[in-house]
Amino acid sequence: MTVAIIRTFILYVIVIFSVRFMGKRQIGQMQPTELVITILISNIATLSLEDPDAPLLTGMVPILFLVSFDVIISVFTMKFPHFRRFVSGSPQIIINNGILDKTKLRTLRMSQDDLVEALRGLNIFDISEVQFAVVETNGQISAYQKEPYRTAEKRDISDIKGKSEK
Amino acid sequence: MNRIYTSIIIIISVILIDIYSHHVILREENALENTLTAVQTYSLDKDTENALSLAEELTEQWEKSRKKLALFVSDKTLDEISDSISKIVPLLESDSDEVSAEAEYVKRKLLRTHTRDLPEIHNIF
Repeated sequence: MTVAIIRTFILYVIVIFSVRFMGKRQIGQMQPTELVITILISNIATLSLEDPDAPLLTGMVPILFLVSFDVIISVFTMKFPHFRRFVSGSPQIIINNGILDKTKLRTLRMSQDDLVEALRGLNIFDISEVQFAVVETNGQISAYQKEPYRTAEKRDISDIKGKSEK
Repeated sequence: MNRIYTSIIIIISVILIDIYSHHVILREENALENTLTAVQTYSLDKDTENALSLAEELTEQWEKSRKKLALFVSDKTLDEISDSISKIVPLLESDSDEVSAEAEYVKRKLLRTHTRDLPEIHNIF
């Protein structure tokens, strides 16, 4: 049991270091590579914990290698846009000026129900109100509403005030 | 930039650990193989006294090697080798013909321990 406890502690430190080293974001914001690395790290750590016969190095080495490799890949994706597109894909515009692009939706294997549900999460209940909607590389949907439906901003109020003073 | 340097250092360290592990396994394997071959030779020549003395030396040698190999090789494999090596002395004492077979088994197990980790297609896939 003592060995199991010590191994657990060592792996815990390694995993925490790895996650901090990569600079993790919340699961919903992860790029595909980051999600893959997170799943792999957790599985490798679990295998090492479950099998006390396996040397600890067989768990630690893959985790550290994956983490370092991920950091290097992320630097490459920053420097080379083509590589970034290859690894993470590119954002897709699925609504343009209130019109839904069904072809793109099919390509993304996303149903209209999924899209509408995501828009409802952004307090948008009608597709025709949307100027642009983009499916990001991490799967999240961003939407920009048409002007009449947008929440008023300070500059809008300043404009109105300016006009009324004239 | 610090992160990228740290990543490169980690990857280089991982590669060095890998090379070191191959080196350690190969070194211990060669040493044990030499002793095993000597035991086999004495056993085949019916020189039980020398065979026994070398077999006991083999057991001590294995105890030391096992500790070094435990960092890189699974306990299950090391236990199997331990079981086989521990049979050699009783087999010699009972003048059994299986000494050679047992020694060959240990040699094959040691070789497999090393070759399993080589970057060859059949090992990767």
